[in-house]
Amino acid sequence: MRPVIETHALTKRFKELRGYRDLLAYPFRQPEKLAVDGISLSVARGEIFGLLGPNGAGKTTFIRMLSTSLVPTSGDASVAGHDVVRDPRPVRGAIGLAGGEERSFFGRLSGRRNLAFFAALRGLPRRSAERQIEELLRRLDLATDADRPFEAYSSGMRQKLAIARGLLGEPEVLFLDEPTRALDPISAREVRSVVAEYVVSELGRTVLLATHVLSEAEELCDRVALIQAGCIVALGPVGELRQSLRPGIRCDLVLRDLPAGLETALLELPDVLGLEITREGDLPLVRLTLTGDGPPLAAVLRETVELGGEVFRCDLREPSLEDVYLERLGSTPARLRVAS
Amino acid sequence: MTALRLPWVFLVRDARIEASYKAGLVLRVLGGLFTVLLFYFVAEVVRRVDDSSFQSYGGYFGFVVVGLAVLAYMTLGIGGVASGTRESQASGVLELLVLSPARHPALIVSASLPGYVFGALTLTVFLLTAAALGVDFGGANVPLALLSLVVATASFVALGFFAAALVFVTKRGNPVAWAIRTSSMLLAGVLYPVDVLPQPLRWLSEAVPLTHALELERGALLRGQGLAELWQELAVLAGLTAVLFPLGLAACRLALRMARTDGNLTS
Repeated sequence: MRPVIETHALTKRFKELRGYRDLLAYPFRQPEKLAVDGISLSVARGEIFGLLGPNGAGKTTFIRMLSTSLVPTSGDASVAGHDVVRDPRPVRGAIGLAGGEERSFFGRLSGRRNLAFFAALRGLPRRSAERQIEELLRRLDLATDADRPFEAYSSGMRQKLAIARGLLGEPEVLFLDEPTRALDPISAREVRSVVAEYVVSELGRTVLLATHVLSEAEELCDRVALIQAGCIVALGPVGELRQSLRPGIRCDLVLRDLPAGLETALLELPDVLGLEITREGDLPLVRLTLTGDGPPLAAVLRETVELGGEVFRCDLREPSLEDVYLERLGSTPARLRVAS
Repeated sequence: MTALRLPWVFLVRDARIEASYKAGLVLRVLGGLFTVLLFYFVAEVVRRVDDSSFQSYGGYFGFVVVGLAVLAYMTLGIGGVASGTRESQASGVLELLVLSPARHPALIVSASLPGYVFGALTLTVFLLTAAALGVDFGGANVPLALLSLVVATASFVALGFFAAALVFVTKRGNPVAWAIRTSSMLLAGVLYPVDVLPQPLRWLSEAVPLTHALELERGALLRGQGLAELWQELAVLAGLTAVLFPLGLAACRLALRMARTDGNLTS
């Protein structure tokens, strides 16, 4: 079966803004920034595909090219069988878009009237639009607030309304660009369950989800592409990506304080394959990859205590998508977060 | 979608938003009243000095009030497109409009329509206030005034295309509206007849649709003139519209293409 989304070497370069001095000194030189660098992938019908990467990795640019709001510099892309450059109108009819942008509604109008406006833009006949709006409001648990002004909505309600808008006209493909970016953990969980249980399981839509929330991708996506600096650095089902990791167990040590020389001392231990020091709240967190359980862990704990470290917590765990991320991208970017 | 559905949904949307700002609506009406009153007193000064050159318009006040009314109508229409495009660009709505399956020219025309409806209400407030202050519209040729306003609106919509195109590229709304308003006030004969302008500016004023719209409206409303006297002005205005409309559309398409290439649909 032909994929619903297909890209070949899709690339986007942006012209960079220049200061007056550069403009006068080099009027004909136009520096460019590479935002998406030759991405090739395909997404099957009914799949939830995740684009995972830190801010500025190129996820949004990639989605905007697929949704026809941005013209690619080179490469090809098709959505629902239509080329995004040569044949953009049918693409627009086949897609829905929901971003994390809360301002893209009319604050003085009610949620229902906002949806009615965007339904009319999609060319839905009035009766059909009213029916769809009613159903979406009910399924997204917005019915009781449907006639309140949008500006009175909470962030979670706004995001659900954005998803409802993206589903108007029953598009084949829904693009979700950081849908939980500004949400608290409870609202984020609600939005994730709407996507998994309603959009995909019940409606059977294909979803392309851009996120920097690792657990969100892990929870929702059939396959993910890890993106950094506009390039795919890993692609596949989450389980396969986990299996592709170096063997060994993962151990997180939460300490009261970080003793001097601990990092060097632990890396000298023969059974420590990898180590990264980060923070959990105010406490230092040492993330270790070890060759196996038992003696290596005992050696790590002994070394830590001997250097004056006080172990607050020690967790052994299965490799996660975050570990895949760490291994493929080198380190935990500060911009990346793990959802609560 | 029927041809009228798209303009209708934009009109309903903007009417609801405007109506929700109750104080803003009152202030807008009051602003119109104060402008008319201001020029009523200016006209009184002009009358005391010598307003014989405005006698065919029933005095300077009649001349200037029609000028201000049509200027306000045009400014609300074109300014509405410019500021609306900019607001949509900043909020992310513009990207959603562009991504809708509707044709882009139809979208831009529909989005500009509410500005002209609100402009027509403002124009009516101006003229009613002027009538209450003594301007004689008794002999007005209302059908010709309306026909002229329709043709003028088409030319203003065309200018609105250029305004939207500039906003796509410059990402600024207010300067565009300001430039159109100021240049029209300077060249089109809103506050004074164009024959006081130096010759080069008079030539320029011939290319400004508002110049001809004002001649038509003043002729029809204040002098009671008919097509026999005004057909040449109407033909020039229609000709300007026929030239500006496709050019404006082309400019808009080009600017939209540039915005989709440079990533300026949202910012």
